[in-house]
Amino acid sequence: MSKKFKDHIDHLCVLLHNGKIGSNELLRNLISTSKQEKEINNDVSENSIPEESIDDILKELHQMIGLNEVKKIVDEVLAYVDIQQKRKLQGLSAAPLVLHMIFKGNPGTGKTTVARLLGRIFRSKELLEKGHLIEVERADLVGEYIGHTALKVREKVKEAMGGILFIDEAYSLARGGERDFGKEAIDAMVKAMEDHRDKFILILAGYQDEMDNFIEINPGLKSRFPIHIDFQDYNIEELVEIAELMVAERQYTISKSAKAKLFNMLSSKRKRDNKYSGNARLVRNLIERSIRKQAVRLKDKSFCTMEDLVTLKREDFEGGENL
Amino acid sequence: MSHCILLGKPNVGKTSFFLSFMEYLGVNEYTFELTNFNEEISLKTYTLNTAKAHLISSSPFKTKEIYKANLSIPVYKGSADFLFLDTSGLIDGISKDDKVRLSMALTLKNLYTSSIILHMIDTSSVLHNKMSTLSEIDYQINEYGKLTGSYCILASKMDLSTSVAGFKFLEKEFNDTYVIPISSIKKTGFKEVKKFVARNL
Repeated sequence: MSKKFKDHIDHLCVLLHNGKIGSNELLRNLISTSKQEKEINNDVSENSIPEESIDDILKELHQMIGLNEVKKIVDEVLAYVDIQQKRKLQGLSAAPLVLHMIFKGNPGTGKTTVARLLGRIFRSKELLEKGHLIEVERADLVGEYIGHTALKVREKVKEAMGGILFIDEAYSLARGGERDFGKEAIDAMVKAMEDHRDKFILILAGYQDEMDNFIEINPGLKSRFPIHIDFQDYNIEELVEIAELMVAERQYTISKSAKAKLFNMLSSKRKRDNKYSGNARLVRNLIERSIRKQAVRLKDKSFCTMEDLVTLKREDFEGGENL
Repeated sequence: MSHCILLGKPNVGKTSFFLSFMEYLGVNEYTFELTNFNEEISLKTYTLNTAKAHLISSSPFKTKEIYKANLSIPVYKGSADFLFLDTSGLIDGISKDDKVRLSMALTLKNLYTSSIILHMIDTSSVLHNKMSTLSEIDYQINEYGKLTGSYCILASKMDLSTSVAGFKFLEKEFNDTYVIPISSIKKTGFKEVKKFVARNL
């Protein structure tokens, strides 16, 4: 018997003990659940994704560099979910879980990555059925003629059922003045949120200032998104740490002088471009570029040792400032 | 290990059968595992006579906890182990007594983890109106049991004079279920029960 059914029956047993339901109701439930389970077992679902344990996913989250505030909020939400479920088991009233969120932060601060992880976490907590992430932007939601927008929004919401709908650069929906269809998209979204309250989670993401502005203009939104997470910019040390993690994942290492070069590049870039500097995404691009350059460097060498193949040298990072 | 659960209405003779059946399987020391609602386990050991004196009573709801015993049954040339569960009686509806509700919750909690279900019905009272008489909950257990596959009805107290008519009624009422007539006092029908359990292990 699967865990979900087991929890369901355990819950009913507690209710029986408390005298909330009779033995007949419990048995009736037991019969119908085991019938359901039989049906599920009969049509062996091929598309079922194997269940992951919550601990593994949380470990993955905690391994991410920086993001201290995010980690804290995720722990908070998980504790809240646990207690609400326990309260429900004891027959106390449990507030419905509203987990719609707003992510604020500069590009490359890990908003999408965290959203993806959250999907998996909520799936293993059985708050979401599938936990997949649908990433959309303004163009996917705003239609070209009257009535088109609502249709598009509904389609995307349908796709995201059981998972997370992630709207990147969400503030752009409010751009474009009175006659723009972006407003219509917001209205349709709010309606969908109310209709399918616990079927999917909506995450709005964007730059800090623009998102603050966006929420101010649309006062109805603020109360509907109880969770706000700020993604701080990484400092340069953190970015170098991220770079090390990234190369380790790809089975490369960075030489010491290359690391110094990387440090220099990142800090000069930060000075020049400020909040558009790209954060972790810039690091990824730099790494990928250096891996390509290393390949070119090694191409004409007749014999490569293991060390040659895994080491990224200073010269591989040359010219990365213009990225 | 397979769990074999014995359940039914109060006072149908579950514990009598439980002990006699263990005796029939050649057990001489009676060690039971008791599990309470919080899943804490305690052990109790009896000899046959003290067990009978302590655990069996003619008043309903004598058994308030789940008694578990490790048994083995000869299968072909070897033997197979199983956990035999004696439970407290089930009644319809919501009981006023907190202890009865707790014991019923315990029984039902163990029901869905068991792979073999022995459902005991008192043949002597089928045609009367007693606490142990057939009622809605028996039909529900029957419906659930048929879904799981290894389920049979034990028609108990076959040594009493009113039982034959009751047994006939049961056979007719549950014509798609295997009904085994047993008597714990005369030790009849035990061979069939043993065979049934061995077949489903």
